[in-house]
Amino acid sequence: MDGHIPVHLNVNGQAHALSLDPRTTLLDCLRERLGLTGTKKGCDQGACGACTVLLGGERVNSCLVPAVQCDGMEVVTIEAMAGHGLGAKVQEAFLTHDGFQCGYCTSGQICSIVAMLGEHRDGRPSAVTEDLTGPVALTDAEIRERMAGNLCRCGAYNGIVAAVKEVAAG
Amino acid sequence: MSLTSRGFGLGTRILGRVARLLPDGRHDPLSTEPGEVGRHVNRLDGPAKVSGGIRYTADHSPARLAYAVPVPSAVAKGRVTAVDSSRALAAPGVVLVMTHENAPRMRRTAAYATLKGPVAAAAMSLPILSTDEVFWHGQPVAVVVAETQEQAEHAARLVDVRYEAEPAVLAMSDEAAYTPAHSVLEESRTVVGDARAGLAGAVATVRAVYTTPAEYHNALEPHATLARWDGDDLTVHDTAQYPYGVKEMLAKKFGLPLERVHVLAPYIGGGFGGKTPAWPHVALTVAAAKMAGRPVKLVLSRADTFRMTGGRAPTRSSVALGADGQGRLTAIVHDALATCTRDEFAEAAIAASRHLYACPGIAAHQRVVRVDRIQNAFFRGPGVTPGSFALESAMDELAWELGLDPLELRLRNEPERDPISGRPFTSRHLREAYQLGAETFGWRDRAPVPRATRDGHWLVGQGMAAAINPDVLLVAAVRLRLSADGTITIHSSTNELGAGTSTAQTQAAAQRLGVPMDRIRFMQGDSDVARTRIPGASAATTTLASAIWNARDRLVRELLALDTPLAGLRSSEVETRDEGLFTRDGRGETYRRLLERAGRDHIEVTGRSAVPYQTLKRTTGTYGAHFAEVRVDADTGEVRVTRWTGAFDGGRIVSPKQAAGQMRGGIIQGIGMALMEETLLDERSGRIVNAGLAEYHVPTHADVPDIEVRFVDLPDPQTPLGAKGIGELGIVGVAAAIANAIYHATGERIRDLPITPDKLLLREPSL
Repeated sequence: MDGHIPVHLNVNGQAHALSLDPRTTLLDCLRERLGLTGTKKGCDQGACGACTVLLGGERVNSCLVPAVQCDGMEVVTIEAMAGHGLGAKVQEAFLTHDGFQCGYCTSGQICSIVAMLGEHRDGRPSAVTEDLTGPVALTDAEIRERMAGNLCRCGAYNGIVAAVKEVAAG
Repeated sequence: MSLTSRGFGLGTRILGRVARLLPDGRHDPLSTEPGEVGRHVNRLDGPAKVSGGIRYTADHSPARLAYAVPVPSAVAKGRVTAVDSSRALAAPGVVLVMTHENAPRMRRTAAYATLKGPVAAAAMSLPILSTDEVFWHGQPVAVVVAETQEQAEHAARLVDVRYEAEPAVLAMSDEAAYTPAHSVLEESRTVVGDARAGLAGAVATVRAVYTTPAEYHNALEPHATLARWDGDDLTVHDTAQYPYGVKEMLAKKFGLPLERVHVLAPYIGGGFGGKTPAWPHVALTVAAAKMAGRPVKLVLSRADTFRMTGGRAPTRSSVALGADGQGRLTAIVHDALATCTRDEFAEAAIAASRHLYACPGIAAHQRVVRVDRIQNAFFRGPGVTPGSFALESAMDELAWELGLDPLELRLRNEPERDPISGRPFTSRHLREAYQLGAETFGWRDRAPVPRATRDGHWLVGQGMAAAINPDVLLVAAVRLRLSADGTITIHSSTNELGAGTSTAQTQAAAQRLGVPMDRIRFMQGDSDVARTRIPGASAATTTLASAIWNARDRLVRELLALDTPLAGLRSSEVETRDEGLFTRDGRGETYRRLLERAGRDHIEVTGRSAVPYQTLKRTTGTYGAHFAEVRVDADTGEVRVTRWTGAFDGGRIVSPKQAAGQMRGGIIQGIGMALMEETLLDERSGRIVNAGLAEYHVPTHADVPDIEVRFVDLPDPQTPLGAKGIGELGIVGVAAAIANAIYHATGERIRDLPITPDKLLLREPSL
């Protein structure tokens, strides 16, 4: 179509050759073009985290990323988490600790946790990390700070933190 | 006081008298029986939710789908004088632009919340896109439909709307205040005894004004509607908390027979009351689909959820309390003011003051002011949540005046009967909740004076408050199908908002029918199952349990009528247990065997909720106590909530794991209300300034401590399952508990929500 741009995306291990309106966000591309509706739109302005996916292994608010900017990149969404070792553990821990109610923020929370645990493993500090010289313990305060970009209006935060702790403890 | 409000008050009193003569309904044996009810189980929809497998409204994309985007008005009141759609229509992909000039006919429907007309779900009676009138800033004045969301969003900005603006009333002022006919079924004005004399003779008094701002639900799922016409059949996927009411509303608006309209809303991404009424976009999507001749999906942007759906009305409460030397209340005076719109939805900010404490002199008066804003809406604990901030802050102030522990003050004023009507309670275990909460929290260790605990730059304090919410049983029916393999499917027109309704009902139904939980499937969200009026009001658990109880009885009768060895037995002679019907002496058959013997593939029955005589003739409510610890930064005025215990009387708790989550959710929304949530309105233009989650702040992970939830867990003898509805209770009293803790930490009393750092810093430079 007029003004559309060819884009190659690898989503959950599957290659897609797309022709996209440059205004299309990664979020709308996943949901409306690829039918991957597990990723949710909560605010469309990067304020709620419901649309969190992994882009090139990093967590992003997919509503803030133009899909054409992701050309040639790998995207992992909630739909692939069951086959992702860490993702499956987080999913299981969510059930045990009741880390959700309505479920609308859940996909974003889980994707965010998977990336956050990786960031922590890589030794990246957060805004509440006091000692920047040694390994950082994943305390409740660290988890809460690192997950502060994922809102849950139902208020399942306690369960989510418990789920993260269980997974982090192995 | 208006004639209608007098009439409502009189009517209520007469009904109260008559209700005493009502028979008592059946006592539910399940309320005390051990079994699935009360067991900790994981959510049944959990595996689908954690894998992104649930289809919410906006996740549906049928073939030939077009996308709609509404255009908000730029004035608060007036008329649309011209709409120039030419540029929008010329933009790529645009299918149509719907305005008041070309929209299909939509009949007026009465507003649900006023209870003045039929109880369909319409949020308002105003004719949106049916006339040129503008009633609030942000009202939809056009709808653009295009092939893609991007094209629709772009074209919506190209619609040129001209207005003739009129002066709008936007501020909540005393001048035009009046007494509404009723305040969501509470009397707007109540006088018991002589409160003035009670104040005059009091040893200690408190007189203060408390305010709460307009607040928004901000469920993470924005409101969405997907409409599809197949001839005269209309199918609508909607984020409705009240699918049957939306069905009724759309049938009326579009002049369709009820059976032609199908509303589907099985899973909702959070509601909190904001999706109880159908806001104008629901009918507009249906109208746009009719015009387009193809399916249309409209998902409100986050900003549009502020403009085009309503939130909690702002309130101002003047409270005066008096007490004698023993700490017994002699007077409660609560004058509350709130906003409403042309549709008079008046929230009862006075509710807690009418039912919480024993007092010989109570004067409660709710007034409203009509404003030209988006209509206010139900929001978790409507009225009682903002009103309890006033009452429960004032009680704390009174305790300090008296030199009494605020918990002790409350214990001394716990009533034996409803303070207004004098009717008995179905059950009330607030005393137990106070004690349970206080012990768990360690309330006894609290410093006896304010500003006594300092930890570095943090001032530490503890506060408490009571919670109360009216409990109601509403109307529901379910269709229950027993299949040849012995499995049971229960169909309901309710939905799953995240409250855990489907899991709790599966637990209760399993016990009711004597089968394991995995033999039951609970199917929800189809408006066509049966007339079901559970728009909210924390009523799903008990009302559905009543309907399923009735379905069980009908099923038993049907089974006993079959040609089996049990034929001829009376219903009272058999029990539903061990996956079948058995007499007390052990004679019986499994359901599967019964159907097999009778050669039946299945049996289907409809169960209807009983008229709740027991609760109609008594006062029924849920109760609780919050205990909070805060730390206030002495340099910046930042408040952190660091510890919390909530203890609640919600009757018997059906599904404790999820119930605890629901209480935490209410408490967390209350933390938001106390410390950050506020809708900022430009009172010159009517524009909401902070219409987004980046500016309207809700609690994040980092704002929430571990929250301990305890339940008294004593069955109510008068309700199905012995349960009471707890969905709203958790938020009530939270803001006051925090304000009271802040006072204890700092010695500063903040009476205006939210308690942001500026308010603390401005009050005391040395803080």
